[in-house]
Amino acid sequence: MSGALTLLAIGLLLIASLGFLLRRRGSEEEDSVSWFADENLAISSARFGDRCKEQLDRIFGCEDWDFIRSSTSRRVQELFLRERKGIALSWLSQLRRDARTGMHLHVARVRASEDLEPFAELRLAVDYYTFQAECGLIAAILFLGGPMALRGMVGRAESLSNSLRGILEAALKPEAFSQRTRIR
Amino acid sequence: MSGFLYLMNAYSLGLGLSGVVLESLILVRAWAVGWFRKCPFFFAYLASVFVQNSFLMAVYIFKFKYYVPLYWYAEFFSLLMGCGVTWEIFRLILGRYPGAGRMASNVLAFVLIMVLARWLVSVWNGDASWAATLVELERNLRAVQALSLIVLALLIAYYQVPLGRYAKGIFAGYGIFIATMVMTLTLRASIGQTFEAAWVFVQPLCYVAALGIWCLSLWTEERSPVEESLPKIEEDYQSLALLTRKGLLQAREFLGKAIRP
Repeated sequence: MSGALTLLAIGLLLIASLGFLLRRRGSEEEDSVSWFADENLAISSARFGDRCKEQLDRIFGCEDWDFIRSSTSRRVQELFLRERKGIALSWLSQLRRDARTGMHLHVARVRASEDLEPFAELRLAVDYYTFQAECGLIAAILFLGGPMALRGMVGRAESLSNSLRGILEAALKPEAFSQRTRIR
Repeated sequence: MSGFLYLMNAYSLGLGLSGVVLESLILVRAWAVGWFRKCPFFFAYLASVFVQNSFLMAVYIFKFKYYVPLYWYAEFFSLLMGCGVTWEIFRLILGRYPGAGRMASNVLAFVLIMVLARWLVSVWNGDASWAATLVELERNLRAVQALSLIVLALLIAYYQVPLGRYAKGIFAGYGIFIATMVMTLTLRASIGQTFEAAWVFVQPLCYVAALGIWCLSLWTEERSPVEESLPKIEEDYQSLALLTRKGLLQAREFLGKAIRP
């Protein structure tokens, strides 16, 4: 029965992929456009290096928020949080765009290559989609709680994981194990 | 009941006739445009199906008792020709992309050999009757073709491979035909005789739908393909892949810095 279901799924998947391909916008013209964009892509991929730590700390850090929280009204605080969330989301989408551009450049350059290596390509694809998934997750957290909540959450998760590790280490110590398994 | 049988016969004959008409239309058009040279396998497949259908229709009308065994022999032959069509679709679409094409054709050849070997072993051991194994073999080979076409669709989407009108039409028509064949053959093998009525109804309809897609896409002349100006790959593949990977790792590093102070 599971074999039949698999085969039915294969049939449906093929129909879905054909539908996706047929709906692909301007697939016949797409190719020529991609080569024109190459120069811009190279410049764009170099922007990865411009995301300095200072900029990140400004967007995601607590200094500005601490100041606003201590010296302004609730309305100003709300406005600040809303704008900071918008900036963080826009930064994240820029990072995703840069990664997408980098992959686009790679694909456009290597697709005609005879030396294409399946495993290297697969590893790159996995890296790229993992990165996109991480960005999606972070965007969801940002959307729900804002940049301050993101760092706070990660901090809490780290301290939780540290304490869990501590408990596990303590539990796995031979003397602790022998004490707990002592026959009374 | 006899009214229903009469209707089914009329339906089968009608679809059979439409199929033959559409096939001849496509073949005449391909002959006029000179597409035989570009896609020899596809048009050889279509020509063989046209001859088979015309012959089978004559058998259906005049000597019905021979229709079923002849149908299965013809089906087996079309199945083998169909494997060639799948290969040709790959060649047509990935011909200019040798790396991706080689990757895909290796996978296709490997899976085909595996399925054929498994079928030969089951026939040799006498595990199943000829008719049952033929249905299973057809289902499995169609499933292999379907998987290959899914892989091709993924490669097209990932590498943004441009599709011409003819290539898109052949791929879409054959893909829909294969997908529906896999599903109907699976249901036929799982449900059995109760699906027979639906099989008689659905199977020719799917084929005529595929012929309709081919007819529509091959009818309008494709504008002369613009020669792709492939960029000079100055760097080798390894260094390009390394550069992209480095870029991705850097982006991930920034992402990490964003969440960890």
